[in-house]
Order: sequence, then C-alpha cells, then structure tokens
Amino acid sequence: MLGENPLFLLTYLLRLLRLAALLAVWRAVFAARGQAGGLDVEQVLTYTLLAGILAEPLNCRTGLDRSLWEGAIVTRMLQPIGLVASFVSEMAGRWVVGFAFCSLPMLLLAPWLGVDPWPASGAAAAWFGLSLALAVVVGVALDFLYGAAIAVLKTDIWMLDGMRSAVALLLSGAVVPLALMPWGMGRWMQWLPFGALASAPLQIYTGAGDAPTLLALQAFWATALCLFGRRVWRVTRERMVSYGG
Amino acid sequence: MHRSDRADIPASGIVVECRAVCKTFRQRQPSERPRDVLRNLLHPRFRTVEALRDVSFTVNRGEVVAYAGPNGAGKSTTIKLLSGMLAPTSGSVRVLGIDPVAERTRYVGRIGVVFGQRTELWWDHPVAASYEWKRVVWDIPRERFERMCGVAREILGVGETWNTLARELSLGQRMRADLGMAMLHEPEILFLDEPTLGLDVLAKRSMTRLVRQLSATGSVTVMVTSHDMNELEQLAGRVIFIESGSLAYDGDFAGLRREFGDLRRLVLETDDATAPTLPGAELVGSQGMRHEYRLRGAGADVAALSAGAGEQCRVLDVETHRAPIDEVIAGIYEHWGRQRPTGTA
Amino acid sequence: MAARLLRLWALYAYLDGMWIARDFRSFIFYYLADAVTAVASVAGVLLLAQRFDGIPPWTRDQVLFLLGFGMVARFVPDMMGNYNVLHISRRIGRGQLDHILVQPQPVWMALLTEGFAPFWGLLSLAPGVGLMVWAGQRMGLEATPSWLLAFALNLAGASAALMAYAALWGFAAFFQPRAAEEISGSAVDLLTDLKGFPLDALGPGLRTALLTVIPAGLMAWYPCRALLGLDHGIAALWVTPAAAVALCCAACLMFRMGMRRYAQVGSSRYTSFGHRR
Repeated sequence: MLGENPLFLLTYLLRLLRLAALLAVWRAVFAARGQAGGLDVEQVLTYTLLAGILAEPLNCRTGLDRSLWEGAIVTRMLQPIGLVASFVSEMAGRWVVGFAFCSLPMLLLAPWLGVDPWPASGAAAAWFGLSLALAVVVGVALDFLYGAAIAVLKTDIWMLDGMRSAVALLLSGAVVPLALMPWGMGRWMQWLPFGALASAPLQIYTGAGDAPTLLALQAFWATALCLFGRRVWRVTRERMVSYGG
Repeated sequence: MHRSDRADIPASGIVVECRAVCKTFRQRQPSERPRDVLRNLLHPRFRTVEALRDVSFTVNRGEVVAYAGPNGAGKSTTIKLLSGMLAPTSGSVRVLGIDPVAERTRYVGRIGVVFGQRTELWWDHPVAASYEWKRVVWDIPRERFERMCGVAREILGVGETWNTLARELSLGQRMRADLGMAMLHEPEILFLDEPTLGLDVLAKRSMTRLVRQLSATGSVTVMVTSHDMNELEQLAGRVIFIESGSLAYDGDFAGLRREFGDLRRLVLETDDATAPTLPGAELVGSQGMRHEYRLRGAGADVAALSAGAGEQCRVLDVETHRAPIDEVIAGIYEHWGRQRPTGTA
Repeated sequence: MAARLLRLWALYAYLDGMWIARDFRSFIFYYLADAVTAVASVAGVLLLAQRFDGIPPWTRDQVLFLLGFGMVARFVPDMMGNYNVLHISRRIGRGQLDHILVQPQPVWMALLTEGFAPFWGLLSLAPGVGLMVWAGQRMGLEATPSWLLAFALNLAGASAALMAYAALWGFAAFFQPRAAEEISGSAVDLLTDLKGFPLDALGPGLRTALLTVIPAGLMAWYPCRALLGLDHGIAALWVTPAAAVALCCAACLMFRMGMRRYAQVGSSRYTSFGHRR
C-alpha cells in the first residue's frame, strides 16, 4: 500500500499534528497546578506522547469487522492458517509500517515537542513490555468479540464502529488518563477490560500506577476474554460466515 | 411496449457514431521488491495502455448489436465512453446526436446502462424503494412508471421480489431487477455490459426475452457485451469484435464464421472403435464407435470423406453440424494470441 | 431547481425513515448506538472540564458551550453526508461515481441530496443543543437578535467549513484514488477529534494550521471564542463564515478539476462496498 504513493505519509503527519495539539492542551490544564490525580505535567505529557506513538497496539483493530462485512472471511477460512493468526499477523505487518513512518519520527521529535520520552525507571520499562503484550492480547480478544457481535446482531459495521471507537477511546484512557477523571470515576473505569488496553501500560511506563496490580488485572482480562471469545466464536462461527457471505 | 409518449423519436437513422476513437490510460507498475520501496514512492514506473485504438463504427436505431472481444479488449471502456462516463483521448463519440460527456445530464436521461457486476439498487431497501427512487431522480411520469413496472414484473418476474431487500436477492433476481429498473424511463438506447455474467439458464432466458421484445419494437437500440457467444448470436443480428483495443470485425455472425473459419463437425458412427483416418478432417474424439471430426472451411467434401471412411470400416450413420459459435471464437482468440507480440498491454 | 432539490431531499428522507424503521430491534439499536457515540465522543473533554473546572483560559461553562457547539456543527455534515458522501474519496476511489454519472442530473445535485438522512444523528443534536442552552444560561449569555444572527452564521460556517474541507480531501481522490481514500478519512477524523478542545495554548504556527489547512479550530473553538466574547471585536465573528466561503470555493474548484480528470481517466477500480448501504 505504502509503496504506491508517498501521499500516504500525510496520514502520519496528521497524527503528529493531533499529538502536538493534545500536548498543548495538557500544558494549559496543568499550567496553574503542579499535580492532579497523582500525575504531574511531565508524566501526563509522556503518557500522551506514548499513547500517540503506540496508537495502534493500544487499540487493536485486526480488520475482522471489515472482512466480515465484505464477505472476505470465507476466503480467510480457506487459508491454511488459524483465523486469529491470520488477522494478527496482518495487523502486525501494518504496525511495522506505522512504526517506521510515524512512531519512530514521533519518538525522535519528542525533545522538540518538549516531552521526555523515557520511562520512569528501568523496571517500569521491563514491566511495560509485558503490559503492552497483554494489552494486545486483550485488544485482539475484544476485536473478535466485536466481530461476533456484528454477526449476531446482523447490523452494519459503521454504526457499531463509531460507537466502539468513541467508547474505547474514552474508557481506555488513551486520550484522558483515567486518574484525571472527576468524581473518582477513573478508579472503577480501571477495572473494566478497556482499562487494560491503554491505561495500564501507559501508567506503568510513566510510573503512575502499581505495576504488579495492573499486570494482574490485565492478565485476568486477557485470560477471561480469550476463553469467552473462543466460546463465542464456536457458537457464532456459522453465523459469521453466513453474515459475511 | 407502448412508446406513445416518445413520438418525437425518429424511427430510423444512426444513433451511435464512433469516429477514430482512441483511449489511453496510464498504469502504475510498482515493484514488489522491498529494496524498491523508495523508488516506488519517489519515481514510480508507469506504462501506457491503449484501451482503444482508432475504433470507428455506427449503430442504427433499433439494431441489437453484440459487442464482443476477449478480456481486456476494451469492451467496458467503450460502454463507458458511450455512457458519458469517459471522454475519448482522441476521436469523437456521438450518441443520439449528443456528445455524451459534454451534455451528460440531458443525454443519460435517454439511455439505460446495466453493468453486470454493479447494481443500481439500494442495498438495504426493497426493490420497490429503488424503483421509486429512480422515478423521482429520473422524473418519470407516473403513467410510464406504472406501465414499465408492469413490464418488469411480467417479463422479468420482478414482482416476486418486489418487497425483498436488494441485499437478499440472488444474483439472477438482482440482475433482473436491475434490468427492469434500467428500463423504467424507456431509454432509447440500452447499453448492457455483461448482463448475464454468473446467471443461470432461466435468468439468462428472461433477459434474452426482454431484449428480443425490445428489439421487436424497432425503436430501442441495444448494445450488449458478453462472453457467452451463443447468447449473443441468439440476441443480436450484428456483432462488433474488438481485440487489443482495435476493431477486428463488424458484421453478422454468418460472416464471422466465414471470415474466421466455418468450423463444421462430421460425426461418423461405424462398426469399429478405431476411428478411420480422414485426410482433410481432424479427429476431435471418439465415444465408443462414434467418431467426431473437425472440418475446416465450407468446401470440405462430406460425401468423399464418408466414402473414404467406408473403405476403412462400415459406416452406419453420418451427421454434420456447425461447430458452436464459442468454438469459432476460441479459434479466433487463439489466433490473435499467437499473433500478439509478448509484453504488450 | 429549488423544487427539485426539495423533492430529492424528501425522497432521501423517506428512504432514511424506511431504513431506520425496518424492524424494531434495528430501530432501538440504531438510536442507542447514535446516543452512545454522541455522548462518548465529548465525554472526555466534558469530564476534564468538570475535573479542572474548565480548561484555561476557558471556564467550565464555556467549555460546555464549546462542546455543544461542536456537536451541533457536526450534525449537519453528518445528516448530509451519508452513504459516504461526506467521505466522497471512498466513492470516487472505488469507481462508484459512475453510478452518479448515469443519473440525469448534475453531479453536485446528486452529492448535495444523496447523503441526506435526517433521522441520522438526531441524538447528537439534542444533547448538543442542550449543552449550549444550559451553559448559556449558567453564563448569563444574552441572546440578542444580533447575537443569534452571529451564532447562526458561525454555526452554518462551521458546518460548511467541515463539509468543504472533507470535500477538498475527498476530491483529491480524482487524482490519487487510493491514497486520498486513506488520508481523507484521517483528515476528517482529526477535525472530529480536536473539535472539542480549546486550542488557545497552541503555538502560533500550529494554531494557524488548525485554522486554515486543517481547520479543526473552525469547528467550535474559534467561533465560540468570538461568540462568547473571548475575542473582542466584530471582525472575529466573520472569520468562520468567511473561511467557510473560501473553503467552499476551493472545494468547487477542486471538484471541477477533478471531474475534468475523471472524464479522461475514469476509475480502474470498482467495489460496491460503502455505496448505497
């Protein structure tokens, strides 16, 4: 895809612009106060930068929904590779391109944007790697459950897609850290599976959360959602194929 | 079919006129090698495809013309040019005396287009809703609309799917509904681009019936492309053949057979499982004691061939028949394939 | 022409109504999804404003007004841009413009009417209006006739700016079908993402970019500054409508150029997805 036209790079420029705007908003919010919700401005900026750099892994989209909608799921099932492996490998390939043309430049531009890109500590970096892997597992499981939902509901994907994106963005803490939510909302939002997508790894990276607790929570959701997803997939498999056909 | 409200339409004359039409496209040729990514980005390679080269023909009112050719020959490009979707690179296209691109809105109200791979129906709505949509957008008078809906129901059997969502129609039902919809405004010319692609025999038959009925009125001109040559031969009195963008033949089917080889078949039933050898005839195959030969040209002497066979075995029965038109076409394609230099578009 | 436009809008309203009411489950689900999307898309900034009592230099009530304005400004493009009319690059890039070209009406008329779905997005209109009214009352905003006129002009300007901007990116598909399809979606999403944020803290370069090339600032931030008196002077009230006119002119120009090119090259791709569904 990328080889066809350099104009694709503009998409990444737009992401950079969005990041710069969000960083400016946070600076304004924290201008009059040192700390909020246990976070200082430096942590929030690092948190936002990393959310921008890792936008794809922190909100996994395998393309299953589109595949179902277009009926391409049938041809996927004829490939000599598991369905999850097929979608995940394709998704990972897209990430590599995004990482090279967007994430890496964002990381390199961090000093220019006035953001410290480094993790809170060496241990935080190590835990973060594990947390990110668990976030991807939870993300993929949620994506497959979402695919099952559109097949069961037999509805148009664009209707659900808008809702899913908006809800996930809010509840995962990818834009506004959950710790900054009013009325202590962030505390219970953290327990939802969406919290395992972005909030947990980003908190660990910035040293804003207790790594073992967050990792345990992520591991729970990863296990529970994978088991649930497998069951749902078995039940709705036929329906998914007929929906896609 | 009544056309009382279209009294202004002349009964004869040229309605489609293509003069020296050329159409070229540029096609990107990206390399798949990872080391060429930068070159693909900054200095991509292109090739020029000549979709049509110096194509000229005319079509008279009321004619049913088959527009045929192998894949990539330029059939769909021609239909797009005639529908006002594309402008020729050079040459001129005039249909009903109108430049289809320059006066598109006036023009498309007088034609109907059906693409076999595309549907004009609204996917999540019943067929009836799509027809109503067409009535409003095309500004079709109520009387004509009701009458043409009747035609669609009667000839194409659209009535049975009238309240079915388009997305739930079978391919055949969808195509029939699409054809019926294309007819609602009583177009003067109907362009059908592979309308029977993927259809079963019954669906093809109802399509054919409608086109025949239209041509019987003499006031509707039909240009139809298809790969099913038998179907085209049944439908059209004239065939225009296009190959690699150039006009290769324009005439009737009998002439096509004459020009590209009047393939006939000789079938001998003998008392021997071994097929007799016949000079001037090529053995196609044997089934038990029934042997089929391919004869080339109208001049083959069947009596002499039968006599020759009689010298080798006892001939119980002799049959001759024309080879299917598909076989003539396959011969033409093979011939063109051999002539075409390798590496061209 | 006006009569024809009205007839076509009535037709598409009928189609939209029939689609929504095709069965009870879909009806409920449709509006539920609409409501959840509308609320979730602004909830982040809303909660942030609540937590910090505003986003400096905007007070909490001003932020609420800005969020409401952004929701309502987005409603019109959403209502007019269904069936990928707002994301027209998808239809151009997928060869679906041919379906419009066989209709006996100008392409612009088809584009202006075909995406009309008045029942869509109603649940983003109601909370948007509610937020503005509530915040306006709390701020003691005086809705004089001249202010209401300025408000209407700016709201129309914001909506028109978004549509023109989406069209500009979309018409790029005439020249680069695949690339534009990708970029156009991201460009429109960026406007949606940033429309609820006060952008005062941005540097002058970035701020200019977000008022011109990527006019996210015109969606709510700049017009609300002018309407709420954060920018003094009458001239500020005219910036959004004027920018919208400029963007519309640019979109028209791009459209004409694109149509000329489409007649020459057409589309070598075709997919039926996203078209009339």
